[in-house]
Amino acid sequence: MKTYQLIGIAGLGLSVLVCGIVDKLENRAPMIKSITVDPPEIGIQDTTTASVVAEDPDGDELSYNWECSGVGQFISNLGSTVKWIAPAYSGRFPLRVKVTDENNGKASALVMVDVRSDEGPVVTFTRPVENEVIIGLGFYTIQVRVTYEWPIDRVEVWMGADSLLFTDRTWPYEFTQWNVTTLSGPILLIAKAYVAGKPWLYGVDSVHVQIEGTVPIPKLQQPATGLQ
Amino acid sequence: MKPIFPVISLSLLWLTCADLDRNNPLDPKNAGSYVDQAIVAELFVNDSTGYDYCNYALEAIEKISQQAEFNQQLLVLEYHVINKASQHNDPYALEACNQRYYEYVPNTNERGIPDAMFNGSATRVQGASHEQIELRYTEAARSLLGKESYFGIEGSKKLINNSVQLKFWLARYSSSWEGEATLVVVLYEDLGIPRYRHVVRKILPLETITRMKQGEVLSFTLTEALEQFSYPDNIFAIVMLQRRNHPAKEIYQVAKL
Repeated sequence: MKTYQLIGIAGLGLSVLVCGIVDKLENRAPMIKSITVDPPEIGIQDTTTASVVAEDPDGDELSYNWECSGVGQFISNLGSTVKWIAPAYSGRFPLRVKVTDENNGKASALVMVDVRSDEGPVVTFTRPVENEVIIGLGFYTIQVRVTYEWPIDRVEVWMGADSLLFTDRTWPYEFTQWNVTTLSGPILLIAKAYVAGKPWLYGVDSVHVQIEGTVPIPKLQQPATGLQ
Repeated sequence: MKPIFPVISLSLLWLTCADLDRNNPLDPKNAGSYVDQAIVAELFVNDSTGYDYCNYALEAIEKISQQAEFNQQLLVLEYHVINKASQHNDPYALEACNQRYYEYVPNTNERGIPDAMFNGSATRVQGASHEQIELRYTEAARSLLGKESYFGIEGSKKLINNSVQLKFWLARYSSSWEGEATLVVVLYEDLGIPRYRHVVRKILPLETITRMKQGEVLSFTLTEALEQFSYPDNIFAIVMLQRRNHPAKEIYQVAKL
């Protein structure tokens, strides 16, 4: 009997231990259903609201911890909905959330926030340069460089305020067909780069050039010699 | 005894000349000799284009050629070229002027007047505007000032009846030279009115020079009829020694007779 009693006690203990392990193994991690920011695009030092929807398959209570890698700051970084203040400069920044259940089950996700200043693109004429003298003969190539973090809709180059020379929607912004023949004198070239989705926002650069007028001289026709 | 003294004196003189140090910088036989390189601005124009660019160019080149800075070292030739695209005629346009322009600018797409070559096409100033052309010409000519040349050209012109006779000498300074160069003589007329002070009337390629010894002097005489010239008294000649078979067609030396 003593042996049976011992076996019974050991069996009972083992099943308690196994049940505990199974319980432990069966804790499932939380599941993140969605993560959003509203609005997804804000100005510098503006505030946006980040929200995460998560659930725990085991019904555990969830805790939330948001991180922003030191860029900008949360008013409070705990909770499924938080407010984040953008930094004083523009960029595309990630907000990460870690969701933890009572049994240390974890899930994480991130969402990007676009922080945009009201500054337009930086536009620079690379050709011609300021005060360049251009010989007024044939075609001249105009090149414009645009530096901007966000998509550019188009680049326009104007001769003075009234004459649109070209529009280019793809990089590199280059116009090879500016016909300068018979032009002469000082000319102001203006380049405008418009931001995609924000037609009121553009960057601008201008250069003064001096066109030196010429008259093309076609080749004289050679008199026919009659020789074969 | 009397005749002996002149003989002795002449002998001494001859000995003395032979033993002279060749240190005169203007002596062609001096190995270190050179002369200043003169500058010629060859301006290609047409006075009937319908645009003012050629006028700006002519006014500017005539003005700066008179500036003291250039000390008569800037010579000017105004080549009137035939412009087939124009409805109008330039009465001074010559086919020879076109040919000279084509030699400088073989690529048809690059031909446009006014176009100026300063001592060849390496220093080229094409096009003109009222605002800039005087400055551009001045800078171009200034960049060539004070250069040394190892060729010298000197000579004179004389009007004989209805002809002009040119006598000139080409001297080689410093060291012997081998290469390929052409002597070009251009007759121009000063019509006495602005923009027509250096109108080219005739281009006379003389001959090819391929070698000259140190100190060698070549002499040339040329007589040219002047029937078609308005003012024979106002005829001048420019003599140029120009490098051949080279894209820049450098002018080695130039002189006005």
